[in-house]
Amino acid sequence: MHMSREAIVEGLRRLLGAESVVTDEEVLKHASVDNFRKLEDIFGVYTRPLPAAVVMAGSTEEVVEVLRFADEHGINVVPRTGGTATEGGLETDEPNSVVLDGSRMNQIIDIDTYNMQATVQCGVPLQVLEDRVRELGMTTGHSPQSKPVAHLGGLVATRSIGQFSTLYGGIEDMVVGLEAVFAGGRVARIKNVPRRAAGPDIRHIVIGNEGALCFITEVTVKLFPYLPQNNRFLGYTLKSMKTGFEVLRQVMVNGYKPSVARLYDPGDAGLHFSHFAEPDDCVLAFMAEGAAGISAATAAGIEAIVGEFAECQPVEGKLIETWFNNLCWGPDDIAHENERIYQTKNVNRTTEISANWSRIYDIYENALRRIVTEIPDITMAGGHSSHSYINGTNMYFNYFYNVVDCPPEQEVDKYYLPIISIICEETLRGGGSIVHHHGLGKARVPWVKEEYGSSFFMLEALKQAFDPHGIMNKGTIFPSDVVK
Amino acid sequence: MRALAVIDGTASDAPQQARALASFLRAGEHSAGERSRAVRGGVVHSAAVHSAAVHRGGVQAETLEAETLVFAGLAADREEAATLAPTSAVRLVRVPAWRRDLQVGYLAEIHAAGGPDLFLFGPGRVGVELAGRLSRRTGGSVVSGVLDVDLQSDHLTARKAVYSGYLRARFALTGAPLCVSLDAAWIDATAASGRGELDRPRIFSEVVLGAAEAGAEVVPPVVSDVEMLAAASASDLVNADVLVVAGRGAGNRAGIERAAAAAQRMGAAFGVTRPVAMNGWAPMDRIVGVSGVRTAARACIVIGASGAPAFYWGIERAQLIVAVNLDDRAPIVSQADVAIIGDGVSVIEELARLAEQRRPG
Amino acid sequence: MKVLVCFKVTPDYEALRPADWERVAAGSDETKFVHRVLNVFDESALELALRLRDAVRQAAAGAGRAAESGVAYGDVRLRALTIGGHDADPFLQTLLALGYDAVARVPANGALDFAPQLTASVIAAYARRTESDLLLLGDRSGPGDSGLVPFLVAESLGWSCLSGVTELRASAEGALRLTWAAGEGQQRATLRGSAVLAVGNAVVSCLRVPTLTDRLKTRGLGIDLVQLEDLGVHQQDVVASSGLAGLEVVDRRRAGVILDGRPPATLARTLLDDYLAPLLETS
Repeated sequence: MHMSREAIVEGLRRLLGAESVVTDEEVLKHASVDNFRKLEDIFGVYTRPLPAAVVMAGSTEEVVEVLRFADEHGINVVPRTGGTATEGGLETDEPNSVVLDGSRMNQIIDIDTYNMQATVQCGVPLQVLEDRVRELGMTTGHSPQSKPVAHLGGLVATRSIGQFSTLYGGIEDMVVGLEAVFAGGRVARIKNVPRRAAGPDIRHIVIGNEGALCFITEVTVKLFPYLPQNNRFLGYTLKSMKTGFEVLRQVMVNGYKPSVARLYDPGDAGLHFSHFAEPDDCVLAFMAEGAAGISAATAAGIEAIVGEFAECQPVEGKLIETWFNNLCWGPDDIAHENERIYQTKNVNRTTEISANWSRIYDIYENALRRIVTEIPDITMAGGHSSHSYINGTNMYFNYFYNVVDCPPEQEVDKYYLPIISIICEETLRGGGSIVHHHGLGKARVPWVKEEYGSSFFMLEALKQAFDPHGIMNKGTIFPSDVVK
Repeated sequence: MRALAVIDGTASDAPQQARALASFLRAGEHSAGERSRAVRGGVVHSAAVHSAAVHRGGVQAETLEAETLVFAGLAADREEAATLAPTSAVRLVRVPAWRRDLQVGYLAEIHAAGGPDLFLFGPGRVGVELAGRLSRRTGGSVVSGVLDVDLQSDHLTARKAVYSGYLRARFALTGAPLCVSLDAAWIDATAASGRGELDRPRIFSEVVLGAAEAGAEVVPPVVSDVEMLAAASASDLVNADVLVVAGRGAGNRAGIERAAAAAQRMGAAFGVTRPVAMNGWAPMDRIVGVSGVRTAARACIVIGASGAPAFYWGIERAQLIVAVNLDDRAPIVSQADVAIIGDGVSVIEELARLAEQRRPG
Repeated sequence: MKVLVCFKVTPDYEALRPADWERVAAGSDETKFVHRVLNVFDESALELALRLRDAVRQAAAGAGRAAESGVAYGDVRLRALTIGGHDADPFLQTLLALGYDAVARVPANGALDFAPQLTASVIAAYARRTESDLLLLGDRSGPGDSGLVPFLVAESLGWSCLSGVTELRASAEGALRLTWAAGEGQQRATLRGSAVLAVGNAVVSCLRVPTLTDRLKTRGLGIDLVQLEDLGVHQQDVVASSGLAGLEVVDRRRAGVILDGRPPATLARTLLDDYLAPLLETS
């Protein structure tokens, strides 16, 4: 039973008041896409069904009202906060969806420097929380490139990871407790304890659900001491990616936890390091942080490991430090990049995957070779590893293409999805995971069953249990045949 | 030290050239963007020349005698042209417009005939072009965009902004003649424009160049089929009492438009930083800063801009600089008189609302 | 028509922090730690030149005439020149891949940074050597920001210089139409001879991007390295020209009073009452 657009808007207004229900067409257009279809946004062409409204929730109670209403009437709800998602997870797949926006829930509820925990509402920008705790000598340790713009709700919903993850972990290592609202309006509060073994860890149903199971309203994250005075930066140039991966592996296997450990291939290095790297150079970049003794030992350990590989040439640490200080993208950088895209029709895209040490190089090489030979108008193709573990690492493919003889709304079909296909195919063939940290969104859903194999029924069961009427972010994570 | 101030009266910015040179040569406070330096000097007037013993405006020299040369159009009014001069001794040289080659040639002849040690030109492209071409023609030295010069017997230095305004450089000048064009900061270095206490200019020489050439040129000889496009007028940015400038922190085009509307309701002019124009959020003629306009507004409210030097130069003359920024560590905050840490667009809209409320009638 | 476009690659000055600038002023080369960018005005010039060539070729094709026959400017040949170090080479390779017919670099590691006269001599000598008809460059570049080079080059070549150029087009006949800041407003005019065009705030500000295939095709094409001496500039000239006597940091600080403790709306009222109104009433 489908409600009309007007009836949906009227219903929402009665629940929350007209002030919280936005129906301005420009806002609706912008809310129907995320960075996956950023070209549409830049050129003002919108092909996703317009939502009926953007609802600005002010409290958990209001979220409950909206989800209950939506569940009752079969209305598709797309949860949203900072809007920096890249995989289509925020697209409105259904006509007259409701975009449920949590950015007004922007209170920092508590900062507990004794228990080293901070509790915030879902609409708090990470930068705001980070700046606040830094005043107290602390850090969240979480620094994705979207930090200036992304909010905590979305960062938890997508299982995000930041630049310092090799030391602090991903968001899943940082979340303590949380509160989420499920379809039908049930509220779950998960308390803040350091660890428990009282059954499976249910936080992992929420972390990474990408709005397909619930709406996150509150998050508690760990805090760490902020000791930037002990930061150390190391950089090396080398010719071989294979060597580079081996260096990273040795660093991890020997127990070192630099906050940053990155390996750039020549194509990607050319974008960042051309002022000191040759066109055929790979670049290794490390940052060690923490207590003085730890930071010094980490840096020394890395230097010793790299020293075993004669082809690695050291570069001045200040080069890496300066580069690192300019890495995050604020709204003005985004706007500048959008203008560049508008003028040049040259688009930058990324796709990130993960695999064990023994498979990652082949996946990287095979995928890149296929991209360069099978896809037209490529202007740059390369990648870097930025998140390492004892048993493997990620590969962040970075590529640019000119959009030629193609209207903006067809760019995704002509270029982006074919490249994603190549990367997913090669990754699955190599036994890796098709998505390291950006989330499945809607873009990589075609490969989700192959990604999970025989374990897919477990994922399926979550959807059937928590969203039986299929109102939560249709098209995200779960293929349409999973939803009743 | 003998100086010749040169004004191209055929150019549309002749008044600005004149004011800048007048300030530069004037006795009293050294005030082109230098808030902390106050210099006093004495001026002795004689019938024909000015002399100064110490610091004068932008010049520090043991002695300084200054005359002016005004290039005027073939049909220009004599007295009006002479009034541009910052000194009482004036040479008038009539020349067709756009004939820089004739102007530079004439100045080079003056130099060859034992002319002044220092040629001073106004700010802007005209001054840079004349200073540059003359130095090349005569084998002299040149510095453009000068804040001050120090001409002692044993050293000659000039100061100007470099590295996009992040630093200032001192240059040692060698090679005569010295050709110097001024930083546009000198245009309104002192509140009063005009000649002040100086005598009326006395034209002691008048010459006509190039009149015999066919047709007085109205465009540079190298172009034709000229089409005037809509004259971009940024005079409101320069002359308004209150100026609101928005930077990238306004977030997007909609934010800029909201800020512009609020500025209008407040009765303030509205400008943007260069990145805002480069993002396509506002037209180029709204740029405030080195690549745009330098304002004479008394109060500037800067929202969502971090305060890069190339922009800040455009507002540094303001008596009151207000910054509204989300980042309390943005350079603009310490470079402002007063700051609010918050969202600039909201604050400016609130200011507009209050200002409208209080407007009488 | 042979067009020479000159460009400069500089460190990204915005990426430096106040402490770094103090070190630069003290003589330490902190800028070597930052990535390089194209000077924004030069970037416009490089892209405008490419668009001009596209337009002239289109005009010639549209009129059904071969590029060499009777069309006002014939085909447009593009050449790029930079004075600088090895870090400019990636940009030169990009220009080759974009179809610049030749690219050249005059090796000079910062020696000419504050020497506009020598820079102009180098450019003028190269323009003569390559028999260029038209010269394009940004109207100023860092670190010197003198704005002198276009005029000095024009003087050296005996050409006019038009500055504040914001647009280049081709007329239907293939003649060059340019838009520039002439006095009080903007003018569009036809160029009738050789000139130096100094590019200002052009709306076109981003250089197009070559494909990997374009890059592969041009990888073998070399960058011409042209020594200063070959252009008539000798080491003693360089030494004699160094007029930089010192650098200083600029102190622009004011009172920096921060209004806080209340919502921004309330603070707006304080701003109006305590700061703006008193200032504006004294008139």
